[in-house]
Amino acid sequence: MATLALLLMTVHVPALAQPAGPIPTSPKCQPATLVPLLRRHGMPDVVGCTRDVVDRSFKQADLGVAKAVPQADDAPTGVVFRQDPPAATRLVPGRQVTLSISTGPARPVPPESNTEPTPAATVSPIPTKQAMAAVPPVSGLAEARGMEAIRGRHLVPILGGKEFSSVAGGSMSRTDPPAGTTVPQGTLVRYWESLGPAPVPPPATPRVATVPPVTGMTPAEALAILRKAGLTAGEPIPELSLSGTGRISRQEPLAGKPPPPPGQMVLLWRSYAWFSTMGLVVVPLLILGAAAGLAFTRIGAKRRLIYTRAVLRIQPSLARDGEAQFDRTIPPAGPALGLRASLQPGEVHFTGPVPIERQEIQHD
Amino acid sequence: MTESSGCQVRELLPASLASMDDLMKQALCKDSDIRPRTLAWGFIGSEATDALRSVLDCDVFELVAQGWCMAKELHEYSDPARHPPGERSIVYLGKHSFVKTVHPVLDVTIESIKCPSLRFTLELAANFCSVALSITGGCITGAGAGDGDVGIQLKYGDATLLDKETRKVPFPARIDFKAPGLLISRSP
Repeated sequence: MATLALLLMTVHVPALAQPAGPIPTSPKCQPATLVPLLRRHGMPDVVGCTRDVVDRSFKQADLGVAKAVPQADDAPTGVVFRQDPPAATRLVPGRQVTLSISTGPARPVPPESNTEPTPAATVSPIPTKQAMAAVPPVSGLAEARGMEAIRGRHLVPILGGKEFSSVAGGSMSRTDPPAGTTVPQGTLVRYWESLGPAPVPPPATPRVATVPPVTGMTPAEALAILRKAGLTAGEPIPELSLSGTGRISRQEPLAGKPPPPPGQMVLLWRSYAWFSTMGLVVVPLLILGAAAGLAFTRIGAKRRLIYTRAVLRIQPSLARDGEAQFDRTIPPAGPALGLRASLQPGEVHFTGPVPIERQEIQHD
Repeated sequence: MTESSGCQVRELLPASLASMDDLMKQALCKDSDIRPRTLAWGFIGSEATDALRSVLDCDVFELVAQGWCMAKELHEYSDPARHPPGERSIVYLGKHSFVKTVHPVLDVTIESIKCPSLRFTLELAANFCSVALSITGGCITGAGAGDGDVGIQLKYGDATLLDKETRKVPFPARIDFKAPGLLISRSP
């Protein structure tokens, strides 16, 4: 209820002139009748009821305040003489309730009357000698002509917006206040420009009974076929494959199976296209490289073993030549390592004197 | 030459030198023709150590006695005027020390590549409390009644392969050098 009250219009209602004397109230205008109906979201018949009773009933029903449009009418002052929506209509959230409140019979308007237009929403106590005019019907008229018609009634046209409507685009669709409403001259009359009939949503693509086969197709072809079948599919998921061609390699659901429920996609997989070209070159190269590395390692180890064996075959041959020389060479048949060692004399360094404690001399 | 001393220089060296492998690798690979990955450096180091030990199969006292030959206090015994032939002198030396240096040299050939010679330095540090030398005709013919120790150090350039290790060398009662003995250097 509170939501409904918020959605309902809360336009500032001008203070209206109250009726001069008591107005007889019928049973339908009693709050006890109006409030229960309003609480059930039903629009009561308030024509002939005084405005204060209606306002009080709306407030008691937590529906806020209805929009009141003061207009000249033969009905007693302060009495509702027209309502929108009509009686027995269900009040829905957002629906504007407009009540036309009588300001008394219309007075003759002097032809040279040129009163300043007053905004409808800020109408104050209505002047006693206000010239009135009925809003002309402009629906279907071109904008220029419609504005001319409104101005011809001494009203001020102002663009209220654009909307879709049944009338042709570019022409006026409706006005506020509606056509036929009697308002003081100089009142702002909002008009809406028509955009033409609202566009009709495209008919839904009929969904097929089974999923069409798309394996082997390019992703673009597969997506187009599924779209035509009323199905949705995401970007194909790439997967590694030795025979990668870039085409759809598999799908889920499988072809011929019932389509997935609305909101779910058909899953597609696409084999790697690069692997078939790059992989055929790179993988053998990697294998060859690994094999070559292994072979080189083994060859290196073998060479070292050959060296070691060659050295081990050496029979040390000591050859001393008076200078304390050691000679070890590998025979010419398979020399790998030759070692020749010699000893060179060095110096003597005394750290102090060599004391001769005594000597004995013997003669032959 | 020494006789029956019973202690050779090679016996003062360990059977293997831990840093010889790296030393050989660094020294020989300065030659750009040698590819270090193709050689078994452990084996080469071991062979080089063996070669060094083999070339040092000389008596410790033979090298030490060469030091005595250089002592200026003994130069007078090389003067025939003061010590004529036929005179035999027994000289008793007191406490003294000296360092005798020799240079083992290794020439390495790998395949047909002759590498630069590797010149090692072996230092024998001799410390004697006493020793008796027999000198005849300007030559040291024998030694005996000694007491001392010998330290050994092996180096290659600035790298030390074997740090100084002093060992008490058992001094034989008497050592006779082969005739005519070790020639005492003459005075300059």
